Amino acid sequence: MNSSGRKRILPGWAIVTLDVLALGAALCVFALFHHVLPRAGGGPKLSIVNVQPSVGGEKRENPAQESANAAAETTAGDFSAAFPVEDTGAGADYSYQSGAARIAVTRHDRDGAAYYVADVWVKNIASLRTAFAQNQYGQGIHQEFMKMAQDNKAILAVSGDYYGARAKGVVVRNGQLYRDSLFEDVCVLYEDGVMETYTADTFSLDDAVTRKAYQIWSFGPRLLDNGQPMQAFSSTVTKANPRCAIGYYQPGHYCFVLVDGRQPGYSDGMTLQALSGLFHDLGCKAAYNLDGGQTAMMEYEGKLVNRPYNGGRQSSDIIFISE
Amino acid sequence: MLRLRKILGHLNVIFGGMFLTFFWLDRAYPAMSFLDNTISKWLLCVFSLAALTSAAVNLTEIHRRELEDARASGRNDKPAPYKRPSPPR
Repeated sequence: MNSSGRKRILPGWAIVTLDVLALGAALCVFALFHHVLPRAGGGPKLSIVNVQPSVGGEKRENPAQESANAAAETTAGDFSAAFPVEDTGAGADYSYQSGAARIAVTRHDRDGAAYYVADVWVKNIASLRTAFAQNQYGQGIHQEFMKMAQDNKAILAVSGDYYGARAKGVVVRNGQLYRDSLFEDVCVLYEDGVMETYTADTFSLDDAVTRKAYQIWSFGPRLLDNGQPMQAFSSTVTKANPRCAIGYYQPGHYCFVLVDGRQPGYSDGMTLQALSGLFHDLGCKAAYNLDGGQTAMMEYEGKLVNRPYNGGRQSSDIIFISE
Repeated sequence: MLRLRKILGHLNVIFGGMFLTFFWLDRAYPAMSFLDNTISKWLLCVFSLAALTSAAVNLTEIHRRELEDARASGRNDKPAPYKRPSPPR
């Protein structure tokens, strides 16, 4: 056999390198299908409660009939008796005062962290809503935070639990059940305005459905235990980070806390322990951590309130207040 | 047969590397279901088939060599019994 017919044998390092490159390519293809390409998740599996917004970005065929239905169906979520008559926005950086919602957003600094507290009163549970990116449920479906807020005519909006980045976690939005697979701590906002947080082993989806869950978020961890600050959390991301969280005082009265972070000289972020202490100081009965990091953003009337890390990023859902 | 063994070897390296990566990612981000999803389950199926085929090919080859060695040493019915090496003195 002459030299031209001899089979070329690669050196060992080249074989290893080619295998590593092939592994990298295989992981990229996997990542593409696993969490980059959008996968529509279909419609809701179950309609738990039917609460319609009085104003919203969705196209509606018969608003008058829907409004009548909403009035009939949301008596449990009517907080007129507790809704404050006085202005709650004194001294706030941003204030929205109307007969349906009272919002006061104030900026604070604490232990090297800049954060915003949005104190929210709603007269009806229908004013506290959530929205999916591109108005579509599914994994890998993203949209700019500000665009989502704008499309839904949000007065105030914060980033949600980024359900679309995960395959697990119960998803109930505006009374519709989309996903029923449990994952760690859960936050439930019931139709009657009560918000409760649960560990995975104490949560029952059947009970939540029976009690008419209006929103269920699955990110966590929960930040208060019977109103008391916590020291241990069911999360590994306990260090100082940008944070977004929701707090509960009483039916119709909530707060959103948005902590900026990872920006030396401006804000380092907040540990879970510090965030838990903050909600306790605010007087909340329950509090729940939502997706933070680069996702954590707050909007007020078309204006970005906070300074998100690296300018923020697209997300899969928002929580917003509308009339 | 050699080409098949080489292809299977590389496949096993790639799949093994992928599942080690998934295992690590799953521990860091359990909610993202790196191991418990449809794609990973199919990859695991293909990985198992590749590993089984590779094992079958290798064991067949080892058996064939043992038979050849046995024939070469004059015992063509079965390979020489295993003999424990004497401990070093």
